[in-house]
Amino acid sequence: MASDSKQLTTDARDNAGPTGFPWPPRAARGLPRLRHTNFHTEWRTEMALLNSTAKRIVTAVALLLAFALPFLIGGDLLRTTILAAIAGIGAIALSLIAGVAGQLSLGHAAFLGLGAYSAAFITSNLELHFFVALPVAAAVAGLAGLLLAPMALRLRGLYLAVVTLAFVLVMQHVYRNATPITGGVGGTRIESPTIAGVSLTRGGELAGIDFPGPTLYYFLVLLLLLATIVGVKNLLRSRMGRDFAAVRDHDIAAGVVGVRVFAATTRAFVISSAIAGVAGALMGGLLRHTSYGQWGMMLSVDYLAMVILGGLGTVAGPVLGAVFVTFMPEVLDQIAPMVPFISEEVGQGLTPERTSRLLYGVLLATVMVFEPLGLYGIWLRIRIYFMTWPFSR
Amino acid sequence: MSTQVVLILSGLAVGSIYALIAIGFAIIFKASHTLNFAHLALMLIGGFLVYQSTQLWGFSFWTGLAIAAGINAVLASALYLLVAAPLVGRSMLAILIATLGANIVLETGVIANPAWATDVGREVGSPWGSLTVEVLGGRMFLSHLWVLGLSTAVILLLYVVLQRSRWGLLFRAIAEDQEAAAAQGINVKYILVAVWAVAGMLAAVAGAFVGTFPRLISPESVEFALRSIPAVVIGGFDSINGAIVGGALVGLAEVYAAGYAPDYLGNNFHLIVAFLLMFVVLMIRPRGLFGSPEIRRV
Repeated sequence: MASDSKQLTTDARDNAGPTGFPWPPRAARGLPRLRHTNFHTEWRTEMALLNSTAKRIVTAVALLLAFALPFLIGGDLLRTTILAAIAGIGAIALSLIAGVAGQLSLGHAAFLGLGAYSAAFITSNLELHFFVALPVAAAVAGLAGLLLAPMALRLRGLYLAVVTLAFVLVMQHVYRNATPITGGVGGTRIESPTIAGVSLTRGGELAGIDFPGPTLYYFLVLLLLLATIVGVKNLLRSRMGRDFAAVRDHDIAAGVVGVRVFAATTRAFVISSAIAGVAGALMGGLLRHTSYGQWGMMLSVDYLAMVILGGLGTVAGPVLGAVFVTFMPEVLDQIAPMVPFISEEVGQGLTPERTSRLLYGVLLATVMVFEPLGLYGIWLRIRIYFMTWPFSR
Repeated sequence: MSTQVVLILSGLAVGSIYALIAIGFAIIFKASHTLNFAHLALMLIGGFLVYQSTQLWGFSFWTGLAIAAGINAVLASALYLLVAAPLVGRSMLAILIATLGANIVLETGVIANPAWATDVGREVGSPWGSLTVEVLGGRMFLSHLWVLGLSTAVILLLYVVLQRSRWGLLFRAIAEDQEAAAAQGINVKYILVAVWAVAGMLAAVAGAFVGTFPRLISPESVEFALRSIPAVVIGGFDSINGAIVGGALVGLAEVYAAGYAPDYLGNNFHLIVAFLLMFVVLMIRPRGLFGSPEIRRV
């Protein structure tokens, strides 16, 4: 699926002359040399994460904005932003397994749930710190991924999608019935993290600065999101990441050229589910409660929507998708009085949440038909248009 | 003895509903090589359309069933033309995701319809009501026998159509080899629309049975359709016989789990037993019981 984009960015097309043949190069034809990110004279610049001035500027501005954000907004908006950032972490994990490694998993909700319940067990039952819970959540979810990975090797495509979906339903049954650990139908509590006695989610004064509400939690989530982005981007340009893509494109061919297919699939599953576990724990830490109803098939579909709408197999795309899917109900809630068909009664008719679900259902189908790379694909088109201007008309 | 007869008959009755839904999945898979996720919502809509016809418009159950089947056939063909047809030639997962999107849209449409969705659910107004009958010394619901009998009749009718009619022949031709069929002058798209329409009609019949005593149809009934996915996987995605056997197995497993599952397996264990059965079957036979193995080349 991701191969469409590669075609658009090849040097050949950007460099193509009037005949469509890439030779002689534009410079030799006496045309102005374009300031261009696709030409690299060194391996090091080719592999750099931020390989163009524009990317460096955009990243710097985005980082500045991200760190300044909690001082600009507050209350519910900040809370939604945190949820979007957590969803971004989870969506990157799904993009890694479904987009890069090509194993369509509908089981993401189960891994998220495992993370949240691990956090609950560590913080409430064992009364340990939330920061202990994060690695444990990653380990527990990763272990579940390790157990599910052999399934993925034996089953392909549709069968895998169905089995991972079944995994979600079976895990929901476990959450509902393993009462001593999971609290059964009512769910269980998660203690949110504290630093030096200051709750990260409720706010307080730390080192002489007053952090209102969940500001500190926002920074924790932001740091983990950045770590995930950098980590996964780095993974993608490593040998392991190329192995994942090779297995996705054709597992038998990959095996023939020396990729260890079993190892690659298993690693992809473990890494993806471990990241999902962290996202689940963070989700639990913010909501301070977890119950089985949260971790159903619908959550898997939500994450799939984020990844598909954002751009399957990319890193920036799923984050955009997460922001989009998380904020849509809020935005619709705000504009509900102005739009006639959105119901303002609670739980009656077309509520904002349902409208948002309806909308991204439509988008899911249309994106698959018209723009398989989602928002990232649209961005790519715009970028390529300007990069190759005035030859792009 | 009498308990066993009742359990088996009830299991087969529930299983026959699963089989109806599973056959819908299977014929679409055979013809267009994808899993139509929107089939779940089609079953839901079918059930509610029967409710709409009988309780709100005042038709008889049988007319209601015909209306629901007709509307569902139109909906399913529209789904094929709008969602699946533009994706022909792309990976089957692309179609899976697109139909998943369509499923969300249709399901949300049902939930947001205040005339249909309630907390308790709706009865579709079946003529057999909540009577019980005595079978070989055990008492069971009359509706189970009706459901079992009608589903069997529908499935037999489908077999006759597939084996004896011209349309059935064309369907088997494109299931065998789409390109070869097209080269022989068969209008593949036309047949595919018809296949999706037939699957939609089967979903409507299943939806009506899901909404009949001892069950009610509500937006949560979509889980019923979800449990027919293990049925089609156990049988093998591309096998109609497999879908029937899978449906019966899932139905029996569910009824026996509801009757005999020990407490430590948790409440409502029968609702996930289908999925566990699917895990076991897939570990032994990755293509299901009757599915044909996929030949892959580099």
